[in-house]
Amino acid sequence: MVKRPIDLVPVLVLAVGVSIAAASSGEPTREGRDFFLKNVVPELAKNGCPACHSVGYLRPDVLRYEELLRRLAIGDSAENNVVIYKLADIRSFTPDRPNHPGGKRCETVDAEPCATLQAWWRIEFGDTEGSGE
Amino acid sequence: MSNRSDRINEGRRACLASLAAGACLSATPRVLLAVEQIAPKPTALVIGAGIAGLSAAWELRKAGFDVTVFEKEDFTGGRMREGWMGPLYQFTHAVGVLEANREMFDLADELGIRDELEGEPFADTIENGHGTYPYTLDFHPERVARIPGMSAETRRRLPSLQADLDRIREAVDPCLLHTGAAWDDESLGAYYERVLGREAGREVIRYWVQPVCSAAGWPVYETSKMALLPWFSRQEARFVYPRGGIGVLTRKLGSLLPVHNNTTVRYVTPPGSDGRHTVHYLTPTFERRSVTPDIVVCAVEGKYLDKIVQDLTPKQRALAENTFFSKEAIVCYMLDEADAPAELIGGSYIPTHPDPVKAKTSYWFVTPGGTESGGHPPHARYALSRQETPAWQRSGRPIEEYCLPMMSRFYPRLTRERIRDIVNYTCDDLIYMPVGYIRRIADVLQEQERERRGLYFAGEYVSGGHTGAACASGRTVGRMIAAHWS
Repeated sequence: MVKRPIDLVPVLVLAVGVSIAAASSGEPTREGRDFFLKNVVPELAKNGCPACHSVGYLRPDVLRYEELLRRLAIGDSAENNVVIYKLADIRSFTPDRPNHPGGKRCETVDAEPCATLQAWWRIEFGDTEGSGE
Repeated sequence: MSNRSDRINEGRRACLASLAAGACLSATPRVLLAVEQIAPKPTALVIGAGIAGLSAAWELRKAGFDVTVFEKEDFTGGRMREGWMGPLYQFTHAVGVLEANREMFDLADELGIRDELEGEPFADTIENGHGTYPYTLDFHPERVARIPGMSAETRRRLPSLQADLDRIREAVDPCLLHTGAAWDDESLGAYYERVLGREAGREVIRYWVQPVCSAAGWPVYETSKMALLPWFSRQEARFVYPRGGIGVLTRKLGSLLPVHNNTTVRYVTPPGSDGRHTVHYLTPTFERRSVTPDIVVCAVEGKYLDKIVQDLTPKQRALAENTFFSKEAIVCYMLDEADAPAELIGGSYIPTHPDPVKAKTSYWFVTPGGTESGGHPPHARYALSRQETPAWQRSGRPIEEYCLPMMSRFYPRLTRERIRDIVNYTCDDLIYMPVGYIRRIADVLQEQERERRGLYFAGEYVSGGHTGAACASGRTVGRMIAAHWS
């Protein structure tokens, strides 16, 4: 393999026009916050999530919109994101050792409370971005 | 004899190294400034400002890359930092560092903070029903032979372990466990029973191997022997509490690198025709944006890999789908001064302790507060045994309720009415390394070492389950990328 002089590299970089300057594509909606307060919080409360995630200073505080939205954002679809992964206890080491320290909270990714969280994801991120983008 | 291009390269590297070290631009030769002006640096985006991501970013910056670090949290340092948890300001995950973390101490040297990363070695003590003894991460047969209750026959057999320890010490870096992939063929439990015989092996496991494994949450009969033998083989495998605090290194790196906090990476697309990946992320104000740097370093927690990175290769997917974290369940019951003891009290037990409550307990202590507990307010701290953790998870009960009966047995003054506040330290702890996991790491690393690419992986999940491994991984990957680009 021919070793390329290092001073050529930046020229090539210039040619492909790379920059950390970013392309913007939206921001959260009022609809998303409303949905969170009206639907997500009651569903999580019904499943006992705040017993660990809103006392004792454990992160994330699931009653805080901004905090949970940041987790929901990690992943590329309504079914494939960090919140669903935790709640549905996807990929546990063994059935008796749940991935989520608080155990399985959705029987499947489509069962409650995951169904409501998927609906929230679609409101927040479903319009312009997704796995097919 | 060097030509002009070599001279420029040499000068450019020196220039970039000087810039990385914060040197004054006025010292830079004019010709090099001209090169810099017409030729922007290659861009690198590091995802995650834990010790792995920061170490990678540091190496990349030294190599002349224009580096940016995205961190989803409002703090820098990941699991290697101090922070407030309610009324307690202290470590949030990692407690100490291992003296054998060569890359980490070398980095501290570079940053001029080695003295602050060093500290006094400490050894935990543990009770096994026969007595109390110190246990550490190194394994000296003569020291193990002194454990209370150890049979004469087991003591006689212990020296037979030495030959393997010597071989592994020569060949394997405990901070880069893929160097031991060839030995990743049996569990710790199977290994000790094979080498020492069933009875002696089980005794050593019960009194030494399992307590060490349990501290990490690793099951002895599932965990690869290479998760621990490289440490057992070291003579300097001692823990120290850094003088500057556990966050001294990440604080320093965070102050020198462009870390964007509250910036959440959502996903990374497959490479385009130019080999570059696009990173989709949320800004601190929740705007959705994307960026396409020359290089992406994915230094997130391993469990998020397949959430974040689209179209993993088969080997990467095999690793991602086998990345699991052990669970740590610790709870602090905050007390009034009047309900605290006059001095620190506590205990620590082996997981097979004959007392059933002690067997469920990893450790506990109650502190009067003040200087004796680092300025913390009075509290009782209870750590559930790793063997008991799945039972708590199945129970569906809050950790403070589950642990209260056990903690009250050790400290009867602790009653529900006397608890002023709760601090919940429950978290994902360290990656499991069952037999075969280290070979998967080696597969992924071989793939990314082979040639230049737009996406690299760094972190404890590709090196070993501790901060020293994460640091070594970050630095190694940073240097690898620099080599690929030169």
